[in-house]
Amino acid sequence: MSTSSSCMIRAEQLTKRFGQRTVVDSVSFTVEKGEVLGFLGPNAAGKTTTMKMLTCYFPPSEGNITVNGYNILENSLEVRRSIGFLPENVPLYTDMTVREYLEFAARAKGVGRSELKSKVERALERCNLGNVRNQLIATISRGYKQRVGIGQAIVNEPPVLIFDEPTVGLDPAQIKDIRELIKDLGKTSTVILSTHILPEVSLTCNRIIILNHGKVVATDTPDNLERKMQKGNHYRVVLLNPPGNAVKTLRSIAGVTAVTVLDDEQREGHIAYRIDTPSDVDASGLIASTVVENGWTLAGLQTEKMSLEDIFIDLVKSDDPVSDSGDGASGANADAAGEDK
Amino acid sequence: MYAVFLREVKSYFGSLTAWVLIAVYLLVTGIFSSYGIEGFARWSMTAMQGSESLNINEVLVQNLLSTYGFLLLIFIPMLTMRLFAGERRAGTLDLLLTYPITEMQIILGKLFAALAVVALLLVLTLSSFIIMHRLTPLDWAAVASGYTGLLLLAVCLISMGMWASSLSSSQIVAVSLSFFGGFMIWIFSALDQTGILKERFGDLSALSHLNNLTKGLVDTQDVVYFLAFAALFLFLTARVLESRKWRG
Repeated sequence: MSTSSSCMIRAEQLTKRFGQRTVVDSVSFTVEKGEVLGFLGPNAAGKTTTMKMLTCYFPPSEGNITVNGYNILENSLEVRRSIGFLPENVPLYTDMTVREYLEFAARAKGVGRSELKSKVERALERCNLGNVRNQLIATISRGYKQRVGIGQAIVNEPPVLIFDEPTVGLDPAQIKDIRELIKDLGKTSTVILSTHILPEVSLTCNRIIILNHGKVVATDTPDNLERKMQKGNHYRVVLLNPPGNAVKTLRSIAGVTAVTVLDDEQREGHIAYRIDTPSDVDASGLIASTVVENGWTLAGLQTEKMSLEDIFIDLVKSDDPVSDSGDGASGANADAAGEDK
Repeated sequence: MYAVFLREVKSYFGSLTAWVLIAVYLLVTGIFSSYGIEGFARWSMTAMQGSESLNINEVLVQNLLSTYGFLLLIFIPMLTMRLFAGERRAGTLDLLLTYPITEMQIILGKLFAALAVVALLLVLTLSSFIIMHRLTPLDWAAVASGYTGLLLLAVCLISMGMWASSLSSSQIVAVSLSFFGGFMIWIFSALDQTGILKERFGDLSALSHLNNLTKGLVDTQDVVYFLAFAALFLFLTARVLESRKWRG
């Protein structure tokens, strides 16, 4: 925890209940000025609900939030002025042109008449929207819509930006563009984004909060998380036409705790193994020499790190065995709503 | 509030909604007025053969203004049905509610935008009265009081329609509810005129209050009725928008 001067957002013991259902459960975190924070979690983990509390869409049932020094309950309008929000699915007024819409957003956020034009121009420029500025939002592509959504969030140049699933529904090129844009925005603002896509957080965020079932499961930098969760080393060894006792021989190498035959090797006659060792043992040299001593043909040897993906799945799984039924339904609804437009 | 107002006005006039509603309203009121004028002319001819003369204000102007009011019951629901339901469906309401503006500012912005459309529509209907004035002098004070009544009625109906629109993401639900509200208003006033209703029950209907104003009778009780009616539904709309806080 840091001093309040550099702390942009402080959330304390946030809890949100709808009737009997607890959607967010005692979530606390702080975000420093200039940080890009990622909320990571499966569907229905409480990411969107947390964001809606931050943006004053609804108040928490318990707990408190200060944003930019303002309390969300006492100074709701100031908090809103400090935040640019892009909701999931990017709701826009499709009957307006891009420029009209950004002007509306700026005006609604209290940007004065004298600054209106220049701020809108700046938002258009930062989001690279110049060549569609006079097109109706209904007629522009999904990627551009996303940019317009980001444009309305940044138009009054708030210190905090909150993006809910900013890359959902985009093609790979557009995803790359949006990530670049978010990174760029992260240089001047504090950014919170939510996602269930793992590479996104490791590429764009300084820090990750993993949420599951409304609770914080882990908070750290992507690197630290990987390091902490690394449960030993894994090697992938591929042999050509190995003898039947290969597993036994590999298992006998000093330090090796487990050998598993993998079934993902496509090439004829090749068999892949996964060899596990504790994290303080480097067995790659021993593995190679064992293979050579036995006269086997080595077709591949790699060190495998536990990826962020594995860590995520580990954390989310360990927390709870019953999960997906409700999530699947809500995901389907979201899709249907998307098609509706 | 101004931002919301401006957006809604642009949206009304940028699409066909406002234009079509205004055109149809003018067509219908135009038909009523021309038949009314013709009827009045014929009637006053026969009246003149006797010794009495007919007062155009009593016979024609009042009836026309009441008819305009009745037509607003049908037209305003079509104007208000999308105000919140459309935004709910598109999801834009969620974003708007995180902007640094209060719910009441959003509500009033939308109210005044719809009112602007109705005001334009009413101003255009004045043409009938200008034509009448060329035929026989009118009591403009009574016409002005009648139009004030129509505007007040419009504020009420817009508020009611907006509330209906805020309830769900379905414009059909919104328009059906507001039609039903309009029907109740009409039926109370119709029953009132038949004398079935006891004492002041007819006063429940906005149309009964409009009648006083079309006579050129500006009574505070009518004005207070309209303002209270509108305030009630604006308040209810604000409560509906706030229900997200506990409903999610």
